[in-house]
Amino acid sequence: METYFKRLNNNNSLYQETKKYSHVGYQNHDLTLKFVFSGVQNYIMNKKELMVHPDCFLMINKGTDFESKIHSQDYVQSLSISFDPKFIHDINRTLQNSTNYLLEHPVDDHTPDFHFPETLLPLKSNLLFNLHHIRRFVKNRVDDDHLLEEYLHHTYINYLEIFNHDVLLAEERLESLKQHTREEVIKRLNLAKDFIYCNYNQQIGLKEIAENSFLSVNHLLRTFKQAFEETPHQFLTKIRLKRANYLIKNTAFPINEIVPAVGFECASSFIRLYRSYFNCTPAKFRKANYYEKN
Amino acid sequence: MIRYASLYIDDKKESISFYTQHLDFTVFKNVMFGDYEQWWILKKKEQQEISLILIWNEEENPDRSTLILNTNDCILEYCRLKDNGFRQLSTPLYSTLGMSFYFYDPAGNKIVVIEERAYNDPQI
Repeated sequence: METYFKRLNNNNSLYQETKKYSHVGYQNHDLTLKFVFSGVQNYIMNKKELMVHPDCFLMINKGTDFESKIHSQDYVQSLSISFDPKFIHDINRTLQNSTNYLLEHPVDDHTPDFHFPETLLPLKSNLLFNLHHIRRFVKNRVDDDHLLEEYLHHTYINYLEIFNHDVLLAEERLESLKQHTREEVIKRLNLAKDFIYCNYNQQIGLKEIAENSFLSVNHLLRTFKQAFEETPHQFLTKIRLKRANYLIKNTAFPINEIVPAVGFECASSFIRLYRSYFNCTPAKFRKANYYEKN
Repeated sequence: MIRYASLYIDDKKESISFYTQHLDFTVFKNVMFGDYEQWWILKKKEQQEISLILIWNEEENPDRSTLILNTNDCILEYCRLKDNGFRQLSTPLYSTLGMSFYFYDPAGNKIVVIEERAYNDPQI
């Protein structure tokens, strides 16, 4: 078991743990981003259970009660990045106001509560690249507050970019609906995505996805495609392929065992889809990556 | 590691056509770099490791040159220069090429430090 904790001068913090078993429950003190680098970590909150894999992350608001569970044969390495409310308020003010306004109102003592949707989001783009660097600093026990403060500043900006792209812009893409209806639809579509993220390895269909997101099958199909520019089935296939790819790269499981483990029923259709998505066959990718690493 | 040679240009159409038609370059990518600057990255088939960038800037004097340095970690490099007392740095910014910041040398040439990121690589 290995842990690392670092609180920075601006009260933002990083916490990394590497464990096979853990079960804790508490109230979140600051807005926190939850990542895993290997394995799966489960979070139970607001009557739902969410599973964080290396290809996605979870945001938990300040004040949310949650349970966190790790129960694995292999070590699960996870990282939590927490942001002080004053830091968030300061960045949001800077992003939302003009330079002139900020010069005229340099101090704002009122720190409002921020509340973001507690849903799984894809770990991608600049957040993914910056997180790889942060992981390296944590591994090497880098004790440079200035550097880590800069990186955490970017981590929050990167989170906002993903939130903006995957939640706000998706909401705007919903056609001919009033604002509050769009907000409710995107909330339920995010439940659909959460359900897929957590049940990708089961034989799930549109009916189960719709039931778990409180939408009818037709409404789910139409609005999912409008908001995310892909169908639920395309999204499910992408998650299965990415998770198969992770297992091919990082484990010794034979490919014929990985296929059903990520929810595919047929090896030949898996190979066809894999080749079309990654431009390479699973066997070639395994040969080039796993065997070279080990 | 030096990866790019760059030149400022005045007339975009004329310059790109000159390099592609007369000097056998092909346009590899067109990138908006900040709000006022546009880059055309040109490559030659036989020389993929070094590229030429044509820079068109709405505001800057075109007689300056730009040197682009590659780094594996843009923020680390930015903090290292800042901690060494270098104050005239731009804030790190993102583009479709990756993350970068810039500063000027004493002669007024622009030095860009860039960490290229393969955003569209499905393996990442």
